[in-house]
Amino acid sequence: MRVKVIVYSGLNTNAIEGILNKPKVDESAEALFEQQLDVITIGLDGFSADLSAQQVPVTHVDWRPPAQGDPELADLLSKLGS
Amino acid sequence: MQKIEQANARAVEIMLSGDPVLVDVVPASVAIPELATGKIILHAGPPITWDRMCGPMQGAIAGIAVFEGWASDLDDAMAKAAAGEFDFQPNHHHNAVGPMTGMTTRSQPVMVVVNRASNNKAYCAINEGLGKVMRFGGNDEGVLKRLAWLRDALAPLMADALKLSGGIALKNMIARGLTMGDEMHQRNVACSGLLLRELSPYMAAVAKDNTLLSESLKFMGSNDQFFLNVGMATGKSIMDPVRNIEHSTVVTAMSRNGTDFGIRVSGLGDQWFTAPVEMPEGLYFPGFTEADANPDMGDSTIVETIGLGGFAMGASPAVAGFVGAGAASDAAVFTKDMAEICCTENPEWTIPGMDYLGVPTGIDIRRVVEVGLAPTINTGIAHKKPGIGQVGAGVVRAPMQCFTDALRAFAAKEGLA
Repeated sequence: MRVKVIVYSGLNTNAIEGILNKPKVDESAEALFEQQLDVITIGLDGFSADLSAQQVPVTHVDWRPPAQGDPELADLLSKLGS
Repeated sequence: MQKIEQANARAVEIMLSGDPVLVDVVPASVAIPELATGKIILHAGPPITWDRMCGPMQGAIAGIAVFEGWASDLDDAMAKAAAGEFDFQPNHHHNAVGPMTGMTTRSQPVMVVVNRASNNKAYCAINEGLGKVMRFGGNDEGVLKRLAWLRDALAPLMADALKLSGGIALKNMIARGLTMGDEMHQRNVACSGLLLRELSPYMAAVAKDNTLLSESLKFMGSNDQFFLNVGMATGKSIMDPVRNIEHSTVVTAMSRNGTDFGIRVSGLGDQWFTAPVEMPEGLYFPGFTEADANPDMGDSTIVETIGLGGFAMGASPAVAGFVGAGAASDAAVFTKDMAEICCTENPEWTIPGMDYLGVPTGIDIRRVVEVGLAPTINTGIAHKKPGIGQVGAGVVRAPMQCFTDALRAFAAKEGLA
């Protein structure tokens, strides 16, 4: 699949629409959004669900922050080879 | 951390090569000689004192004390327990396991499972059936009468039959059970039937009393969960040889006493890592609600430790509905999630409905903490008051704190923290 846009968790549909409707974007970005978008979402299921509901092709990646975002445990996991 | 990977590879190799065989039924004091003297009561879960025990655990202890002749009645038993007259120890400290309250005392019969690959034995009492039973905290005259019948009638008959049979191999039986819709925790319909089919000719051959034979076959045949205790002894026999592998992060036991949930990790020896036990989410029998429920309890999580139960939910869509875990089509999701926290899959215990995916095997505490998914457990739900029994069935997660605490301890032992 040709990937044109990656939406990380933290961007929701409103944010995407905000980008699309932003009055001053450079021409290359504007051209990008005039094409058919193939989207990859990472993290919460809701991001892909919102886009799917609007008939936007989307591939969802199931991902969570390591150790539920705990930096101490993430450091230990790194040292333990995980 | 190649040494961890090598140690875990060794751990799952031992698990997968396990060869459990049901060989005998003997008094617990024969299997576990420490029980022959004193007033030792083995219970489910990690160690716990009387004052911290939940209602059904205290109820079962009162009942078993009367059963053993250590108290004149339930009130007397409660008073003696509170006064410290009984010695409470976990089943897991004696190569044994028990469902729910997990009572094991000297005169109770225990089934003996030998792991022929490692030449070790594991023990579990005979399943009492459903409803008001001691494992759910039941302790009235009917409960004690049934325990006496198991001890005096069924156990000797089963023992003679097993000796004549030369032992019942369990690994293949469980493999077949998975293909027939069992996950070996909340659904044991198939394996209970398969066991009865294998054992009944030998029971008929050794029986000296046709009435006893008929009663025994009826009892076994009418108890869909008869195999649960066999499966638990199987799990214990498979996991005990995995204990104490230096540098291994594989979980060797998960268990709960109704107050605490505990895990043990191979590379950390026999230390328990405990946290407050969670409340199951599930469905309740008519007349009962969540307000009646006791928190999670029992050694039966040994079946999840070997990749069955909640880990094998995909094999048992019917269970997903029974325990209130969602639609039948959701069952596979539980198994896929558990695969994320395990070292490998079991090529001999496969799930046809998931394209013969092997059940997730070898829980790695690193994966649990990294992914943030705690083990899923299918469980029965006991009433929170002593003496009432089972009120439902559900799903519960192991507390994440057990795994984060174990990870910190493991890192410290490896000199990395």
